[in-house]
Amino acid sequence: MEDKLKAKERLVSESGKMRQRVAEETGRKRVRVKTILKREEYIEDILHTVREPLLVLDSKRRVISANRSFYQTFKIIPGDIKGKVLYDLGNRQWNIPKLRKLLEEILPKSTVFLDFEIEHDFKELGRRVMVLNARRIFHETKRMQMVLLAIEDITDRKRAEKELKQAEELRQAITALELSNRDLEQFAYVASHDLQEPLRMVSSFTQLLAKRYQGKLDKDADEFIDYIVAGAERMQALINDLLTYSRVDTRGESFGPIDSEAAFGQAIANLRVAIEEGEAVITHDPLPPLIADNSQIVQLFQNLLGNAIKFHGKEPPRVHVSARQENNKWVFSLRDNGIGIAPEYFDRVFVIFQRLHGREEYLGTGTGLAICKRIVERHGGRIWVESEINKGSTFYFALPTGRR
Amino acid sequence: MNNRKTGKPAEILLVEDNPGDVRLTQEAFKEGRVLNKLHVTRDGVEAMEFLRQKGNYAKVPRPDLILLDLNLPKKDGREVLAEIKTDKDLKRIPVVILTVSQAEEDVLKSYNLNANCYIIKPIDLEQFIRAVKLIEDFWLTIVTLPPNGKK
Repeated sequence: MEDKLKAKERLVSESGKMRQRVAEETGRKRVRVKTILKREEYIEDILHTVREPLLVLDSKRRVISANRSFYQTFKIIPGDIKGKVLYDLGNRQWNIPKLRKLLEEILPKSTVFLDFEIEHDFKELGRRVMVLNARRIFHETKRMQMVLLAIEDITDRKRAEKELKQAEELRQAITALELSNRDLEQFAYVASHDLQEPLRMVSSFTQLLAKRYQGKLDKDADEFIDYIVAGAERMQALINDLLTYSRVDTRGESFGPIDSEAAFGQAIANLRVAIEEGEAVITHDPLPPLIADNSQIVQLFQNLLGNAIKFHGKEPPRVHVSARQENNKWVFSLRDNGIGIAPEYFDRVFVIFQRLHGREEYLGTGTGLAICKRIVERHGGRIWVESEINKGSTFYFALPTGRR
Repeated sequence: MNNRKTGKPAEILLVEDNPGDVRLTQEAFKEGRVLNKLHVTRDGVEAMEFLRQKGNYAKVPRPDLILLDLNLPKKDGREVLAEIKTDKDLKRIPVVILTVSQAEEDVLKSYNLNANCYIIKPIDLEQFIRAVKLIEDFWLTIVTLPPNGKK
């Protein structure tokens, strides 16, 4: 009897424990369901809070949910996309091969991919650079595979980075240019002193030799001496012109209001001998005031007029100078009736030491127009030539009016 | 009074490191009209020793005229010029800068340091000789120089 009683008590106790366990288990389950529900809300909250565009897709890449940022960033009308395949969004604008590859090939294998950069041309948005992050997740309540896809639009950041890089490159280029300008200046100094010294020795002593021994040696010796003297003189001219060229930027005076007609007059005065000898006729229209370096504008006119006289045709040189206003520029022109320049040389004539003729035909070092170009560019302008062989050339240069 | 009238040669100091230039200057002076004695020092330190009659130069005369190159070894021409023009015994001696430098800053600096004139050495031999003759003519016959040795 006693045994039976004990057994009954045990049974009651066991069933009580059992009930309690069931109750506990039920409670736990309830909590778990609640947690799951909460977690879903939580994910939705994150989805909508995050500033980065986010998408939730099902296993067939259909859109389950998207956040506001996605709609805004990619200009897609909300509500219009649920259930649609991602690739079909915006008239199949999202049908991006690289994106397909990521979602269809890489993600199924690795459950996650991180920081994939893709570029794509959108019809309305233009070219965008995006960084993609995705994760395969399992939705417990719905018992289904989903894909969480984050699309960061880094176009602006990329552009900013690019601009920053360009700015840095520009800064480096400027520094390099400054350095090379300083080198050029240094070179100019060396040219003016150290190179001229030995040159003077060569030419002076050759001349002394000629003076003392002319006729006392043979004819060859006299000829050789002539060549040495001519070579030294030419070297001297080259050095001087190179010096002038290198100093256009570094030794220029500051800009001020000038009368270009007066500068033109000064150039004519400087060329008086050449004009008289060449019987040149130089005419001009009224020329405007400028904001410029006066001595450089004189030099500019002088080089151009000098060339027009030097490269004359069969007729005595005639040059007409005029200026017309075009927007905020004065366009000067110097029209001559000289030998002209073939079109293939229109650019080359402005390159330093470029010569189109043999030295027997025309003297010169080939720096005149290079100096003109440098002067015009220092003034923020442009120089060019139009010409026809045997008819004449017109040199143009455009300079800012100085008025805003 | 002016040395030339007493028949004594004019004492000229040439400060020049290039032997070729020294020789050219000598050639030019040979063609000159004025009886002269050309002394040569090859650097700035030597030039100052000459002028202050130090060392080997204890017995040299004080020059009537100085021809000074700017680019010199040891002590350059600008320093020499500054020292001469701030020395109460030397500052009256005319200093002619004779140089290849066309640099504006050299011209300016030389005059600021009271150079008496600045001449860029002509490249052409004939012009060089002419320039030296003109220097000689002007500074030794036309101008009246301060009495030598007086303070």
